[in-house]
Amino acid sequence: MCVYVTNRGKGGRSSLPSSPLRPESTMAFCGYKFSLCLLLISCWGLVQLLLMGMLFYCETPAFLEDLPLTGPYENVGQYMNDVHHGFGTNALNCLIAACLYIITLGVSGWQFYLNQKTTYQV
Amino acid sequence: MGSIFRSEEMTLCQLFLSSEAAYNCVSELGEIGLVQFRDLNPDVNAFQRKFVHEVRRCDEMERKLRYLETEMKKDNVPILDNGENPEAPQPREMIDLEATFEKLENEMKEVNSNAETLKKNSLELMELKHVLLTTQLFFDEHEVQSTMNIEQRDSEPGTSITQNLLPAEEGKGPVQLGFVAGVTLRERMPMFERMLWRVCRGNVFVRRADIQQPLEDPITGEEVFKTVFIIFFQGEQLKTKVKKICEGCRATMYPCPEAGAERKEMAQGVKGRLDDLSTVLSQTTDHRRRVLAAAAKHLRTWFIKVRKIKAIYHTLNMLNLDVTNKCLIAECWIPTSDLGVIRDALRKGTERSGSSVEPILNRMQTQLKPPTFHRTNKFTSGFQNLIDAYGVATYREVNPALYTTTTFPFLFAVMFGDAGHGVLMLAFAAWMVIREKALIAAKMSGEIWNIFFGGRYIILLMSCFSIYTGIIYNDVFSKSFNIFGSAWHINSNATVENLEHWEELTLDPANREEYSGKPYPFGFDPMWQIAVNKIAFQNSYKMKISIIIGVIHMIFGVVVSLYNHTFFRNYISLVFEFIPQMIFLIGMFGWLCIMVFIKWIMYGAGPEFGEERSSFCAPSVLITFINMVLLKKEKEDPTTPCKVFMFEGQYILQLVLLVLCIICVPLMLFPKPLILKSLHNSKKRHHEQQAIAQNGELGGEATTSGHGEEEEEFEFSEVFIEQAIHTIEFVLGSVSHTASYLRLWALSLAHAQLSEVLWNMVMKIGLSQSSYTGSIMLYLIFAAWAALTISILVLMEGLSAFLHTLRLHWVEFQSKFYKGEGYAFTPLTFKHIVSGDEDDA
Repeated sequence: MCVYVTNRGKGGRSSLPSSPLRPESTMAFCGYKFSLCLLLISCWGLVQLLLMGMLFYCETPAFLEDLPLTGPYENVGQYMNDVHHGFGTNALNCLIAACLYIITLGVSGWQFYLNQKTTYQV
Repeated sequence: MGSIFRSEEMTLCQLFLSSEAAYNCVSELGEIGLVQFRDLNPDVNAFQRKFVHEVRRCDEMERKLRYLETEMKKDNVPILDNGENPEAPQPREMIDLEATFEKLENEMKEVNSNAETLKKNSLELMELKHVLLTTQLFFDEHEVQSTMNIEQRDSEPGTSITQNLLPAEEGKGPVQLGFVAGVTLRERMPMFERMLWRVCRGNVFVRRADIQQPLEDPITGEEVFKTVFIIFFQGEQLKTKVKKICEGCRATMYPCPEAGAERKEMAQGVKGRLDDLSTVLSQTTDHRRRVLAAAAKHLRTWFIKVRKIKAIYHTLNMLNLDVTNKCLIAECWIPTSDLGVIRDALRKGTERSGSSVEPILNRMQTQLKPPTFHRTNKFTSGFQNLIDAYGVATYREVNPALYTTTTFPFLFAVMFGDAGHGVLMLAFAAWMVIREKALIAAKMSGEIWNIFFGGRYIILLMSCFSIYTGIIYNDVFSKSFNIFGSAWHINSNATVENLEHWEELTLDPANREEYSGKPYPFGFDPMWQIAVNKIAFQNSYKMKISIIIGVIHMIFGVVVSLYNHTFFRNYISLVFEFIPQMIFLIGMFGWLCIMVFIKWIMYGAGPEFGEERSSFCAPSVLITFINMVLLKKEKEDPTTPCKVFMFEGQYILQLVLLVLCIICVPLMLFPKPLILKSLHNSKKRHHEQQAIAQNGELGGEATTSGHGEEEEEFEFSEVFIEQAIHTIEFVLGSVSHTASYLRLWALSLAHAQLSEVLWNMVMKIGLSQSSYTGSIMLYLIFAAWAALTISILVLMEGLSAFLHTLRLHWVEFQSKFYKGEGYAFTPLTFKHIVSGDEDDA
C-alpha cells in the first residue's frame, strides 16, 4: 500500500518518519489501532455506565433481574432490604467503573494523540 | 426528462470528426464522460488497428513510469498527490514525455548498476579485511607457539610458519606448506570441509573462524553470515585440487601474503579503499534519492496524462475512416438530454485543435437496444449498485432503486430492531458521511473498507430506521424503556402467601385492574420484557406484521409492473397479466391480511368486547384461510358462544374470492399467447398484401419489410411455454414468497434473543457482584460485552439482515415486475484515471 501525502494547505510539513530519538515514540506503548479501539470503548463505556448507574440509583424494575440476590428469603422485609442494597451497590459499581473508564479514556486519548503525530491517518 | 424513476432516453448518434480535431474532441468527450462509443471495427485485430503504434508507445511509457514507481516505493520516497486533473496532452507533446521518461529510466538504471558494482567491491574488500584479520590471528597464535618452541629448540627466530617443523630428510628437498585463504557462506562450510577431506584424502589442514557481523549481499540485499577459512597443504597437486574445490563450492579466495608486515600493509590499504568506497556509495544513494524525489513530484500527473492518452487512442481505434480519408466517423450512444453539453465539448475540442472544420453530430434511427443509464448522485449510487448487482435494468424500465432507498432500510430495520445497536451503527455511519471528503482523499486501500465506505448512506439510513423499530420493539440492548408508564399493574393476588406457592403471577388483560385498557402509546409495553410469555406474544405480532408488510411489498411490485406496461404500451400484458395478478394476490393474500386486521379490531379481552368477541373466541386466521381454500365449512360448536366466522356472509365472500382467483389462473395462461399469435398472423398477411401491391419495386420498402420479418419470428410453442412458466412462477411464487417474508419475524426474534443471551451471560456477571470490588469486574466485563456486541450483534447480525433484505428485494419484490435484461452505459470517462483506480482500460 503506497501512502500518498496530500499537500493541500499544510505548509510543507516534513514527511520523514520519526527518528528514534524523539521522546514521544518511545512513550507510546500502544499501537495506533489499539489506542483507537480503547478510545472508542472508553467513550461508549463512560456514557453507558453513567446512564446505568443513574438508572440503578432510580431503582428501575428493568434491572431487577441483574441484582445480586442470594437464595431463598425468610420474609419480605429481608428480600426488600436485599433489593434496595443490591440497587445501591450496583449503582455505585457502575459509577466507579465509569470513573475507571474516564481514566482509560485519558490514557488511550494520550496514546492516540502520540500515534497521530507519526502517521498520516485521517 | 431525466430522473431516477426510469433510465435515461438514449440516442444513437453519428459523429463526423476531422482528422486534426479528432484527438482533442475525444479528449473533451472523455472529460465530460457522457458518450459511449460503439466499436465500428469489431473484427479488426488489435495489431491491425490504425493507432496501434501510439498505443504501444503509451504502454512503453506506462512501463517506465511503473518502474520509477517501484523504485520510489523501495526507497520510501513519498509520491505527491495534489488532486489536480491535468488535461490530456497534445500528440506532439507525447514525444517530449517519452524523452523525459527515457532519460529518467536510463539514469535510474545507471545509478542502480553503479551502486551494485560499488557494493560488490565493498563486499570483496570487507571480506578481504576479515581474511587478513583472521589469518593474522592464526599466524600470531602459531608464532606464540613457535616462539615457545624456538626457545626450547633453540632454532633461529622469525621462522616462517610454513617452514617444515620436521628436519629435512635426506634426499628430499625442503618442502614448504602452501596455504590458501578465503571466505564462504557459513552454511556451506561443513560441506566444503567434508569435500576437502575426501578429495585430498585428509592431507590438508583447514582452520576456520566465523565472521561475527553479517555482510550484505549486493544483489539480493540480504544480510548473510560468512566464515573465513585457511587451508594448508603440501605440494602442487594438492594446491590445484584445493583451488578447484574452492571454485566448485563457490568460495571466494583472497591472496594473503605470508609475511606479517606485508599483511599489515595490505590491511591498511584495504581500509583506505573501503573508506573511499563507502563515501562514493553514500553519494550514489544520495544522487538516486534526489533523482527519485524530483520525479516523484510529477509522477502522478504523468501517470494520469499517459493513461488519458492511451484511453483516447483506444477510442480512436474504434472509429472508422471515411472514403476521403479526411475525417473519422464514430457511432456513439448519448443521453438525449445531454446533447447540448456534448455539442459544447465538441466545439471546445475543435477550437483547441485549431481546426476550422466543425464536427457534425447526427441522430440516427435504429432498432438496436440502447444501454441503460441511470443518473445517480452519491446517495442513490449505493442503492443503484445493489440493484445492478442482480441485473441491469432493461432500457427505460422502471428503476427499483428509487423505492429501494426506503424499503431496503425499512425491511432491514424490521429484522434488526434494537435501538442500542442502531445508535452504534449510526455513530459509525455518521462519521463516514461527515468525514466523507477527507476519507475519499485519503485513498485507503482494503476491499472491506471500500465496501463499507461505498455503502455509507445505506448504513446511515439502516441505522436510523433501526433506532425507530428498536423503539417500537422497545428493545435497547435487550432492556426496555418505560417512558409513558406501563398499562399493566400488579393485582391483589400478589400476596406473600400466594407468591410463596406460585412460580409466576398471571395478569389477565380482561381484568381492568390488571390491564388499564389504555395501551402503551408507542411500541411494546415495557412489562413484556420481564414477562415469561414474552416470546409467544411477540411471535404473534411479528409474524402477522411480516405477512402484512410482505403482501404490501408484493402488491406494490405488481403495481410497478402496471407503469411498465403502460409505458411500453403493452396493453395485452396490462389486461391479461396485471389484472389477473392483482386479483389473485389481493383475493388470496390481501384477504389474509384483511382478516388479520378484522381480528385485531373486532376481538379483544375485556368487558367492552362481548362474549362472542372475547379473546377466547377469536378464530385462528390461518385455519380460516386453509379452510377457505379447502372449501371446508366447519360446524358451529354449541357448547361455546363462539362463532366459526368473524361476520355474517364470510363463507360466501370467501367462496367468491376463491372462484375469482381460480379463474385468474387460466386468464394469465391462455389469452396472451393466442392474441400474440393472431396479431402476428394478421401482420404477416398485411405485409404479404403490401408486397403483392408493390410488385417489381425493389429498394428500401422490401428490404425493410424483409428486415422486419426477420425480427418478428414467432414460435407459438415458445411463447406459450414462456407464458406457462411465467404463470406458474407467479401463482406458486405468491405462496412461497408470502411465507418467505416470515424471515422478517425470524431474524428479529433471533436478534432479540441473542442480545438477551449476551446480556444475561456476560453483563449480568459483572452486575451480580455483592461488594464494591465488583466495579473492577464490571469494568473488565463491560469491555468484553462491548466487543461481543459489536462483533456478533452489530456486524454479524447486521450482515445477515442485510443479506436477507437484499434477497427479499431481488427475489420477492423484483420478480413481480423487473426484467433486468439491459446492459449498462459505459461512457468514455477519465474519472477513474484521475481518482487513481487501478483500472486498466
